[in-house]
Amino acid sequence: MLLDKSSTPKLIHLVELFDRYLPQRYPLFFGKDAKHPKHRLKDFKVIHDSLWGTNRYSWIELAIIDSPLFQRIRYIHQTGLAFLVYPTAHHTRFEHSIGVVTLASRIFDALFQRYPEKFKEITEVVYHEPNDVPRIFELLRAELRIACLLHDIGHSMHSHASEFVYGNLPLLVEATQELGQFAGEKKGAGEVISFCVSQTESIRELITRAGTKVQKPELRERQLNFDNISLLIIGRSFHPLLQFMGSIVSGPCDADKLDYLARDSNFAGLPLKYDLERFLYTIGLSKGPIADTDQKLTHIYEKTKVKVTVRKTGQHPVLDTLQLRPPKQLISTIEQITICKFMLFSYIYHHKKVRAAEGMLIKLLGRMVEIWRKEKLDDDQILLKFMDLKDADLENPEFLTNSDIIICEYTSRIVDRLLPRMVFEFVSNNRSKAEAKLKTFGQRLAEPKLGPIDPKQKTIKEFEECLRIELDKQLPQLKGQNTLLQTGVWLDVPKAPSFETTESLLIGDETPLPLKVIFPIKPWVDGYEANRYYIRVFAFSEYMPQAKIAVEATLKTIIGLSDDELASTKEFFAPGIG
Amino acid sequence: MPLTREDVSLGEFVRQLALKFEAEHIPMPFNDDQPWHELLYRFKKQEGPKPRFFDFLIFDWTGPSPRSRDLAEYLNSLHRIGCLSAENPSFDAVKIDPEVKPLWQQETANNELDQYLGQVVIQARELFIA
Repeated sequence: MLLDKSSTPKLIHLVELFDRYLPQRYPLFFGKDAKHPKHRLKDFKVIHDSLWGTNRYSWIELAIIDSPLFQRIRYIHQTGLAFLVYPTAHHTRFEHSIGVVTLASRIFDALFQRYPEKFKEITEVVYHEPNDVPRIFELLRAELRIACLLHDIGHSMHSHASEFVYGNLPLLVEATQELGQFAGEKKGAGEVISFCVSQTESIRELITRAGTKVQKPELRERQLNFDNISLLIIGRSFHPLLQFMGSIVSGPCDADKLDYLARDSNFAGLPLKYDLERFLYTIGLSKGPIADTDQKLTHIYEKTKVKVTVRKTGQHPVLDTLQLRPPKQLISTIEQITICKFMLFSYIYHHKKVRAAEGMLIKLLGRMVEIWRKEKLDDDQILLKFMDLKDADLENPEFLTNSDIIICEYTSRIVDRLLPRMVFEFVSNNRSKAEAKLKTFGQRLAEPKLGPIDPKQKTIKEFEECLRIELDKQLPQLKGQNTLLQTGVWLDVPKAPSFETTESLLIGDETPLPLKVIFPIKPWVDGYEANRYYIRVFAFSEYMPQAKIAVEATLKTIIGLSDDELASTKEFFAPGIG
Repeated sequence: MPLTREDVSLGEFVRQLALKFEAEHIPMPFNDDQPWHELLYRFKKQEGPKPRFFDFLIFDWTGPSPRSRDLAEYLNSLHRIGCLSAENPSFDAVKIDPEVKPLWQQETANNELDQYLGQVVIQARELFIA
């Protein structure tokens, strides 16, 4: 068992919750009455992917792919509501997940080809079977591919918009904190769900049952390490020599990123490219220390029953691991990947209308949570509601004809693409007389959420409360009726793209150095974002004049702008209102 | 209301520190921000009363030293927003934007927090200058 009640009670709770939920929700696939897979399974089938071509998927993978748990992500858009702006961005989490499987395998195969001696060492040290390299290779490859299949299994309606909402449930806040402490690395709510689902008996039983239907008995003999699959999902592994596998699934240059960069740009129709072939040709593997002062890794290896030696050297005790190591020749490709990432933020994820649509969806789902709370649903039940939601559910009566007027209104507006308009927007590099005060406000909005402490949301609430008071003055007929929701007014603060793991990526084999030392990626990216990262106020088009007046008053009250400074922000307001 | 030791947020803490560093002429590392991580990690591990945010500040163990993604991203954002400015081409150190500085100075720490920050500054002098 990887988890225990004393240090990870919420994660255990979630695993148990999913083990009750899955047999109840999909009784033909999970639990004691499960019947699937019913027929004899082929050793493999091929699936054609528009990006990565025709690829094989084994019977184990097909058992997962053909389960309704996985099929549901076929109906969840990869880029949320971005298709309202980029009409062809209809690709889904399903395609992305199988794409990640393909790319992860290609990285793994490339490493195997170039470093046969390292794989021999793995079979000797980890498995004590020096003469069985091909079998161990196949086993590890299978675990890697299953981890990739499951890495996004927790996604709900329109991907990250719903993740933002269920991620704020107290249960998930605590579980996310626990997973971060367990993994020794900060994790998100989606990763918590994927990790916990992969830990369920339900998934193990599905695969074991599928094994009885496979045609070639030797394929059944593989003893999959399910704990390793779960650890790979969170960027770890059951043995220090397999750390590179965790990085293939979740790391600075992981298969997830390589797939979504290519897929999101391709399906949105944007001409962004990076050199995948060069990446595969060059990516390296080498021994490297990971500090373990807090004994997070030691704790993981205790759970997986692997004896490790902690070396006392330098400032921190370290564990020797085998890591993905990009050589210096790969820097140009990493630059391309970085450019692709921030261009995607600029073009798609932070596009004004995409933000407007997703902001509405977040408000809508937040309102839905309030209603579920009034119906006395607890966090478990609300989370399971999210586990059931797919994109098309937005057109179900629960949303479209809900008795709550806000739910109805917001749903129809999203479905009919009646999106709010931008009232006011600013970037930090704005050259107005209000620049210093706007920067100071922006810095408060950049503060991270740490557990239950969320200074950013506190600042947003303070700003929006002032907007509400001002709107109430102008629209007295709406007073006391959720003025902000009725007028579609909110302060939108997107999450800035993070390049933290890329900057810290160690480059080179002999004397590896962090990328940022070789190439100053931080100022490069920050300089770009200073002119592209917008903070905005939105409003429904019919309330634009009132919203403009409310914003002006709020800028004076909350940010402390003088009349002169406010006048200098004239061009930050949408033209033609008031 | 002055900031208190218990309730100060990570952002407020960093801003208060930055003001003290400038006052004491301690250069603030930027491109290689590892000393910031070492500094906050030391104070997270220290016994005794400390700001509550430390309980939730996760340090990543993915390389040879501890790194907090939240801290790194916040320092980056201060540069991106323009509150901290760096000089080309090395970006080794950052300074508080002179127009932003008086606005930061409006936030004040109470005695308890001020003393705590003083201890942090002493350790920073050792880490940042080395």
